[in-house]
Amino acid sequence: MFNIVAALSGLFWDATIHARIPILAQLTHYDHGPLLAGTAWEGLDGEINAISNILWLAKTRRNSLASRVVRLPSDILSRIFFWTMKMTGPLNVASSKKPAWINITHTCQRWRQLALQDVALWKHIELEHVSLSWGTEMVQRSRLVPLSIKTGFSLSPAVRAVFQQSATVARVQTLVIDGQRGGQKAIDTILKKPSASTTLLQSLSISHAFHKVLVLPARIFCNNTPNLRSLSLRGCFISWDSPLFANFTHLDIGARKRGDPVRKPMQLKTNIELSQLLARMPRLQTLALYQILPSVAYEELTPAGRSVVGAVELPSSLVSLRLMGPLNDCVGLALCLPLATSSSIKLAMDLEEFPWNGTPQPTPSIMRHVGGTHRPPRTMMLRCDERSETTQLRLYSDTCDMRGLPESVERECQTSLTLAGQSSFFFKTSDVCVQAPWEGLYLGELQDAYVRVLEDSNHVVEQEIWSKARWVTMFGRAQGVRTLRVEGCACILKLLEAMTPSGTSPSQSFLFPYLTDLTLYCFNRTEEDMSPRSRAHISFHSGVMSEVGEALEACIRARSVRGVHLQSLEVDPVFRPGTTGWEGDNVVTVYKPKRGSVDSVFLPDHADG
Amino acid sequence: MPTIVSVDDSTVPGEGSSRLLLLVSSDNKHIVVEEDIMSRSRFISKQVEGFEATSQRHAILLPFSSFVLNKVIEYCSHYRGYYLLEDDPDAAPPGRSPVREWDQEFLDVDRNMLLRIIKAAHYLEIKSLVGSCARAIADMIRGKTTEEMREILGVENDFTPEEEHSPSSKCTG
Repeated sequence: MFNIVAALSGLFWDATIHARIPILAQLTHYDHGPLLAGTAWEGLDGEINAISNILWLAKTRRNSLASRVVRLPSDILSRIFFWTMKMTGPLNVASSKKPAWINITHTCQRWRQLALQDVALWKHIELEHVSLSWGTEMVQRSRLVPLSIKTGFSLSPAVRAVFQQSATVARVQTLVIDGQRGGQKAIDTILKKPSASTTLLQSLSISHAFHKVLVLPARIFCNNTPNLRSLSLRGCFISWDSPLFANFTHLDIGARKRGDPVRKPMQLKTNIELSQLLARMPRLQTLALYQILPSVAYEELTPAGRSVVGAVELPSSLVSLRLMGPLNDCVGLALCLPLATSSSIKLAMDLEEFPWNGTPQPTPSIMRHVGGTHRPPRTMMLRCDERSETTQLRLYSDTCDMRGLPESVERECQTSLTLAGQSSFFFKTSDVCVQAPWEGLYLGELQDAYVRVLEDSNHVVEQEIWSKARWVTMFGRAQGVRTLRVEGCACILKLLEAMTPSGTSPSQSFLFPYLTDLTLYCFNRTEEDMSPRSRAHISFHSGVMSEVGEALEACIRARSVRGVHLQSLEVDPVFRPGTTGWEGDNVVTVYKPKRGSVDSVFLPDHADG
Repeated sequence: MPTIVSVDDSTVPGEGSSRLLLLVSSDNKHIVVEEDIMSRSRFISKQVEGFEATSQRHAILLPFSSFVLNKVIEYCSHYRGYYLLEDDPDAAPPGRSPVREWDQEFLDVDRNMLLRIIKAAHYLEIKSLVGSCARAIADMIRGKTTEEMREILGVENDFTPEEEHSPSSKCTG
């Protein structure tokens, strides 16, 4: 049936075409004069237009019949367009490839109409990457909805055009200015516009990365910003006296990095200055201060010392406080925050001195002084490089004293302790370990107390310092420890001695009587990974390894006699009796019996030998 | 509006602790599903409210096939009891497709099926599923040229020459 219709349709068109469009021979009589030729020309143009219209009509009808996508309801298509824009990013005229959401407007009639009417596609404008024509076109297509504009510090024609029109500036709801180099002229052009009405502006973010300080006008948009609630200023200077600091609910301010030139002029001098600033923003909900906290000397870093400096009253609406900068400054400020017990605030600190990744939580002692209902950390970690070693140790010896915390808090506060560093550092942590709430662990219902000691240690000169007594002093109270991981070599010998019951009498105490999981690793075995000091004494460690293995076997047997069994044991193969060095396989021997316990370590191989 | 036919109570046990609904697909398949599962659909919820107002229980006739309906029920069952953040496109970060992992697997179907599902979700007013489908389709066409898009979606270029070369079209590509 369809073929017949198609064939008839073909015949019809053949006849129509020949009737409507004369062949060349029929046109020769038009050669008689230019007037007649022109008439023929116009006639053919008319036919071409008519055919184009028919073609367009046919394609449109075909689209509406054939393509399910084209036939989707308008609101679904709008969602598809929007997600396409979100996924492909903003328009960049400098790029040779246009984003898919722009290509959408070229796909078919219906999609173009919908896309051009969809203001959501056009209200986010990144002026830095668009030409003047695109900038003005997007502003027009966004009609009257509030705009979100992002730009850099270059005064491109598009930037000038948009910010010269008061009607456009009045529609800006979110303004982000982010870039490098220069910028003073752009800032003055954009933010000092005298007659601009910016009543819709809710969020302003300016980030400047350049060695020269960018100075913002104290009266941004002539202070005509009644709805500005969120301000983020990084790497630029604004006077703290600015009337801008009034109605914010979100303030994120400071230097971009440690060496930022704006750090000095923006740094708050005293806690009083900070308090006065916060008093002007009673509705503040989130506050982030980067590298501009009042300086605190270590000597002042005690609760007594901080009380002299004075408390900083936070707005009652504040729910999040983020501090970044030198450790002394951050902790110094935290110790001056007298929160009510009922208050709940999320406190985060990015401390320069902490070399590991992630943001360490404030220690329980800090939290005790801060007050409020913070959740104490479940993990404590002491690990540092030489640069920050002294500061950290002194700080922790002050702040890690968790005695005096409510028992409920104490039980929770430390399920894991990691000590890592050179052995010299480890010795210095003795005080911290002694102060640790081991009784809390013992009394609590904690099953996974986890002590990891000495990741990279064993300086041969200090081997004499290692003694059974030192281990007992440090961890004698830590009876609740269930899991122990030690990385080291010579130090492990004395540790195993301290863990080995010396007789069958129950009165003879030994370390970690409830230990179930033990992991013993030798420190880094490749020379490149070793610390210089360890590398200088490889031969010494090679001799000790075998002794460690023998001591471990003796320890496990003696503990078994006392009815204390390990459930899991991981041992570095270099500790196998008879080992003379790091040669051999790198596979760690893991003993995890499905039932029962670990009673011997190297026995099978050893016995065979 | 859907067509509603009366059913007797033996077909739809509705007074028990677990209330059931009878959904009838366009291919006349009867699917019994717990009301709780389909509560994500605003359309179904409105229907149920109507039942309660009239104290009469009905089967709900739906204008799509049982295959599509079962897919929608599978989605609703998976997220049963979950609070789903309804699509807030403005809050979504730019970049990689934010479709949930499970959704991605669930929507790993051919284009026609995906379009059927999105239309069904739209009909049933399941916003989260419409959003996931929209994101999946957007994922399909991102990074494509106009010609590639037309090919993928089976669309003809129906612009007139004037439209293709109009001043406004210069700012559409």
